[in-house]
Amino acid sequence: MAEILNNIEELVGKDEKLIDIWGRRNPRFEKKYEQSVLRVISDYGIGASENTGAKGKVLGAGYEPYIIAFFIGLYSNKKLPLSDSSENLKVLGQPIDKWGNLDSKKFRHAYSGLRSYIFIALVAKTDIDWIALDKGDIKVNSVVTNLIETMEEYANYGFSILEEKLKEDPSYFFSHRSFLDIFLQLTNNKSGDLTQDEGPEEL
Amino acid sequence: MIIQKIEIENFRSYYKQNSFELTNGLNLIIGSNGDGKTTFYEALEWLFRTDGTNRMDTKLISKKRIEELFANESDDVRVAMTYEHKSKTKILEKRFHFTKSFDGEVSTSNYSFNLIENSGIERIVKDGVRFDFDLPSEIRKYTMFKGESDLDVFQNSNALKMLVETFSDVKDFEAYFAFMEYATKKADQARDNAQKLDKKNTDRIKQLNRTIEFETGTLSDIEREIKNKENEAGNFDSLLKSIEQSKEASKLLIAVNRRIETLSQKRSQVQARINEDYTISLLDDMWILMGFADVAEEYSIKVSEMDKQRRKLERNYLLTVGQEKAIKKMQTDFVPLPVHIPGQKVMQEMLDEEVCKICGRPAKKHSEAWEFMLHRLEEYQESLKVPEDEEITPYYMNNYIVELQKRDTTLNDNLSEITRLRHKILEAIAFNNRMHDEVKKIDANLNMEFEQKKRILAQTDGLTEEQLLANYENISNWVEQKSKAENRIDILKRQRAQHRAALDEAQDALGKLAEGTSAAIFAKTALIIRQISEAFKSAKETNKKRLLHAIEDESNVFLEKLNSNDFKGTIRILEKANGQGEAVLMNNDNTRIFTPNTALRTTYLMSVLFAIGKLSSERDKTEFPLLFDAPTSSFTDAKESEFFNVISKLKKQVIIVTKSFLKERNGEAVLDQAKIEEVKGRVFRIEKKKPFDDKKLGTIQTVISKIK
Repeated sequence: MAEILNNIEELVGKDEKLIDIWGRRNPRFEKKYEQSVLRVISDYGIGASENTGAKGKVLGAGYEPYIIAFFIGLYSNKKLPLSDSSENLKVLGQPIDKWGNLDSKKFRHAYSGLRSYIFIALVAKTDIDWIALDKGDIKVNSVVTNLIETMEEYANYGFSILEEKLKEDPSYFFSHRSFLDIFLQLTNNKSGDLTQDEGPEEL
Repeated sequence: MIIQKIEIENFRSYYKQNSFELTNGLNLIIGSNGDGKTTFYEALEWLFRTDGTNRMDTKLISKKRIEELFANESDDVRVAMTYEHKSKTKILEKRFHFTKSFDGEVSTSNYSFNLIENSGIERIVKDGVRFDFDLPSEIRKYTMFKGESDLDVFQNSNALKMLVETFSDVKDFEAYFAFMEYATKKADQARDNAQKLDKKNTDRIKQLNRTIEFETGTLSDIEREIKNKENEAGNFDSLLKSIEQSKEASKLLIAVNRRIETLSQKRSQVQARINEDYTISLLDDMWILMGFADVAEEYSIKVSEMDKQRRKLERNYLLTVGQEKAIKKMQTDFVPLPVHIPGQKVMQEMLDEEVCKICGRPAKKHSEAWEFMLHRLEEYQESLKVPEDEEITPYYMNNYIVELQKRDTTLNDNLSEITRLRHKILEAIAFNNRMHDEVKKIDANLNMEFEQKKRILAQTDGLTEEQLLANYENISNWVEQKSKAENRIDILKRQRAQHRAALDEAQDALGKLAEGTSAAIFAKTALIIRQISEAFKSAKETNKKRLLHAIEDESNVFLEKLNSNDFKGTIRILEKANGQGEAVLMNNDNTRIFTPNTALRTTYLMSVLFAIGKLSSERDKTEFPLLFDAPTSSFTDAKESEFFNVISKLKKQVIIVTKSFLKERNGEAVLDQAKIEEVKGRVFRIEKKKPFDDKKLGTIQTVISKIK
């Protein structure tokens, strides 16, 4: 009898989407990037603030540089494993399902949909025995953990790139085109339609 | 009046006694900055002050002299002028005593201001105030000029009146005017008295007198209003004239400002269309998905394969489970009665008919055989009952792949949008670049307009932008006010004519009534006196005009001399409606030159002064010297030499304090001997006595040397 009663959670779990389970997680990053990247280009550590622009910061919450870093890793198709020691790691303050809910911020609009695309990318890029998951042979949580790990490794690579750029030129990201240009270049391989006029702006 | 000598004692930088022996002609007092030029001028100003103000002031005392004094010692400040006037030699002398106390304080006392006349051996001392008889304070305005800006004597509101009264014969009319008024009154009165005797016409006379009284009153009201309105119109006219020059500039400025405003608006509109928050767009507009098509494809392939596999596995499973079930069912279905047993129907018949149709033996109900048959039937029927859908265990516990599959459908729908992103981004960049170019173009135009504005403002002598704009606003207002006043003047003049006619008529009628009576002679007398009075009035006007023309003519002669090789225009002396005069420079097309250059202004105003001086001496009235403090600072060297040459030939006493004729040598100002040679007249050099302490006023002393 007790077993049946215990199933009550299991039934709820069955209706829940994988993306929601994933969304409750807070990904980790290497602590060193907090000072060298996150605080430089975002309001990370400042708390709720609506005045990003006034402080000369390009990005708002800490997850924004995280997303940027992730996509850099994704489009570069390069992952960088995080440090083994948890002492060197930090967890982002906001769980994924809060990312992009910007409606309270002035001059910004929400991009909550972007989360699904990140999720899609993780599914595409992570080796998981999905049949086993559906069969119940492996736990949802371990799958989600795998997805998160992929995300962290992509982001970790991205952060290393951002840090490098900042080391070369501390004011690198004050140009309004710097981030855009990174992505235009990273994704240029196929399109090849970048004309001279649209090339990276000279500083 | 000719000044022979000026003595200055202990007056500021003039330490102890100093004197200038002047000649009747050009006198030049040359000094550099701080050498005592202005002090010389101010000493005379102090001496000429007859209003009793500024008598004694310790500030006037020579600092050097004060410092030199021992305690309880004293000395005098004294300025004196010896002059010849109407063949008499007089000395105007102002002085006061000053004493240094033990604690170094300086006190003043014993002020005196005297006019001393030497008559033979007798020496008559009179109050210095009497100097006003020799050089009236009004005329002093035409004798002493400080700097170039001071030269326009007509800036003084009653200068013209003064001039006319002093130099024309108009003054002589004044006495007659008073008499005429008196005589007219008397004659009218005599006529009235005589007519009172005319009983027959009493009422008519009374009525006419009332009419005359009324018309006279109305006429004087009208005259007053005409004068006011003429004043008003004159004021607005001069206001309009004063901005005549700037009118064009005002218009241009307004047009430029309007264009600048339009351009600025356009600029901010274009600027507002520029959105270069590219980093924000990466997130907010999900531009970051620009390279996502590959990932999406990877996902699609992966998920559809997974899904396929998932379904295949499930189908296989279901198939397996289904076979087992089918077999079971089949097994149940395939449990037929043994061959030797008849069908269910037959069996039921046998039971009902209580006979075994197989063996042909009867089988009574409830007999052993019947019971056997019943049992077999029940057994068979029982075997037909297959358990109702036994539950099949699902193959999958979770539907996550289904979730992924569903998302893939939406993703496929969105794929075209994702592939378009890159194009959209490049378009946005191109658009922003175009807008930047647009802004650059607008900026270039704005710069041009700002340059234009600068040019306009730089070329409107000292007027600020606000003033120019205000002028423009004012123009229409002033034009309107002026024409209003002029219209009113027209109306008033018509009214005046009517009332004059009515007055004349009444006076005529009154005269006619007097005809043949004893009043007739008085009436005629009154009429004649009135006519004479009118004649005087018009003679006065003519006289004044003649004087102004004379001044004009003389002025232009001087202007010709002073400005021989340069543009000069023509001097006109205008009388404004309010009686104020104005010396102006006209172009040959009879338009006024509002802004002559400073040198031209100086020469034309000086020409007017010389003209006034010349006229006065010609009429053997007050001949007076002219004293200028630095009048030629705007002149070029050549013009200056020419100017002094002309002045030295004027046959007029002119005293000019100047720093001209000095040239720089080894950092020091020295006299330009060659130039001095050219000038006819007396030349003094004043300079600071050397050595002096450049931090200590008490070491400063002006020394005078006569050069020629």
